[in-house]
Amino acid sequence: MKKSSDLYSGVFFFFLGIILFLLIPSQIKTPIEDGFNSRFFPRVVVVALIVVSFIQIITFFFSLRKNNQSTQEHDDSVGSTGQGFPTVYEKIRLLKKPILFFSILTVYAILMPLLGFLISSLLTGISLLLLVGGFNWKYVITIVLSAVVVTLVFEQALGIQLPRMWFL
Amino acid sequence: MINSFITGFGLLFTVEIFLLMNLGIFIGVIFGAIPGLTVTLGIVLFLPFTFGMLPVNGILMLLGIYAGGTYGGSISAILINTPGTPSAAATILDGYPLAQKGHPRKALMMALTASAIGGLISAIILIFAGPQVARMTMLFGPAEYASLAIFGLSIVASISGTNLTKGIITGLIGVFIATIGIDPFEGTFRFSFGNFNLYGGIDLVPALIGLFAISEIGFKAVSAFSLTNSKIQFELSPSDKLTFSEILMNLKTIIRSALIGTVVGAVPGTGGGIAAFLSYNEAKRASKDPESFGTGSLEGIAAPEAGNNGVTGATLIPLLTLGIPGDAAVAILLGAFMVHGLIPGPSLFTDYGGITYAIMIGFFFINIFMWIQGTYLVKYFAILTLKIPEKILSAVLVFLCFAGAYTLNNTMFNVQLMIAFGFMAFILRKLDYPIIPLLIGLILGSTLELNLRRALVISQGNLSIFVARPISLIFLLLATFSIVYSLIQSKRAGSR
Repeated sequence: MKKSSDLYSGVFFFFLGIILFLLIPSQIKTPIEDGFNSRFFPRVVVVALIVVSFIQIITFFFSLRKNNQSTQEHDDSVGSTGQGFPTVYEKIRLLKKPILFFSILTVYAILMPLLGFLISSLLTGISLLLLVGGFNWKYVITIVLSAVVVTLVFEQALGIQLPRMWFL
Repeated sequence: MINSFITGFGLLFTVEIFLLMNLGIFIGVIFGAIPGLTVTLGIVLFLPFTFGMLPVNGILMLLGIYAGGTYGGSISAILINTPGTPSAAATILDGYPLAQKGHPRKALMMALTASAIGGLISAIILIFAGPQVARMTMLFGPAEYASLAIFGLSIVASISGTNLTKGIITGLIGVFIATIGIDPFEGTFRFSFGNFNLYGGIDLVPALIGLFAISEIGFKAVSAFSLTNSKIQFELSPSDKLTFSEILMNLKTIIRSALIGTVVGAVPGTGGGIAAFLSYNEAKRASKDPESFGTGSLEGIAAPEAGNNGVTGATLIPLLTLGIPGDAAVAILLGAFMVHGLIPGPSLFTDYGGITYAIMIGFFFINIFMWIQGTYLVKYFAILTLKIPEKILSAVLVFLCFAGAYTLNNTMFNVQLMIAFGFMAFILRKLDYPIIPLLIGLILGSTLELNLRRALVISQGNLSIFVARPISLIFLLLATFSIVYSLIQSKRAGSR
């Protein structure tokens, strides 16, 4: 059973392929104009991406037609009212946590060169605890210890410098 | 060959290597045993720890994680009826019932012993078969390498299951990403968008961490880990021993299953799960007492565990000799070899013979150490893995990811790249796009391009070079077979 996301993602990759194909001349400046130059292989890959995405789109419509036929045969069995599908509100609610998770990671990456690995890790760890709904002091202490251990292992045992606070 | 073997032995016998192998096994067992954490995740997270190590030390530590993790999945399968890894799914069938009958320790020891023997048999076959396959590959030219890379990419078909077009799309994205950076022939920059960080191409490590660790942690964090109520219901009594005669009684099953695992493992695109179920079925078919299967039979534990660990050494044969990864964990190991400057393929045995033998012999010892660790630490593994508060795991794993991505070149660009790959993998997985093809494309893309262009330049654009050379033709036929077979399987699964 094909889902509507298969169609949307197929369309997305189809257009991504076209955009990449159009970008090749500006992004790959080659002194050799024809033959197997540096544009040859990326072009082959991008054309293949366009073709396969197109197949995915076509397959979706074939599958849809097949489903419609079977729906007509079993008219009373399928939920045409949309029952069982998430509402817009539910979709947004489902997306809230992933968006928050990747936002926390982005802020972590921004803070790391400013506050250093240790402090930014502590803030991130506590934020992630709040995200998963497991905040308690025992966990906070474990996270503090984990951040310290990771820092010590990398800096002392492996001799690899992690980011420090910007003024240090 | 003998010289390399002796050099390998010399390189291997250091205290540091033996400690690192044991550390790897310990980490691997924990990652394998905690449902939701995977062997793949364990290898990705600890890959950056090996940057400062010698190649042999680092690779053997990662192989320890691989072997330990493959065994570790059986601990939670037996104790809480949840396989820690997909390859331990068949162990549940008899492991959990035996634990329920009051023999959890016996079940764990049978799983451990069968895993260790399976791994040892697989390691021996690797040591002897690997160099022979590598010798054959000395005949390869650009056309053969290009066809080999196409064969490697065709594994995407078997990995993608019913999502074949999706698998091909992510595979192509991986190949495209591999073209970013400087062109190996002309020295021109490709898709670097003027960013000097991209001139050298995309670093494999941040891509790996993003694809496999960040996206995985994202899923766990969002679902807040599911293993919150798992409790060990059984006491691991010291009197509940596995006797030597019980091992001997099951030895035939163990050896047969290990050989099944070895054959399955040598075929790229298969994996421990298939080997475990094949071994289980074969053991049941050949058993004098097939009715006991499913009720807590020792044979039913020994077969899948010997089968899935039999895969571990055999899957290194196509990896080391041809540079073809068999599954996700091995694809990451391939990345680890590359990070350490060892390019798997035929030249590995000629240019780095000593190191390669040290790794293969080391893998043999890993299985012995795994048995020793398992025997004495099984109780602690059970307590440690099943009592870790899951809610803090996402935070701790994120620290490891960020530190690992940063330390590759001491640059924040790699951290940003890791987040971008993690986000991409998260979205793709949400849309049911498999991620492993992307990694395979990323790894094999440059090999394919380099050799495809070389072959076409030599043949002046004549494509018949790929079918005129017999070895190249064989690889292309194998690739076609792999794709057609997967298509048929996918169609059958779709119509069911």
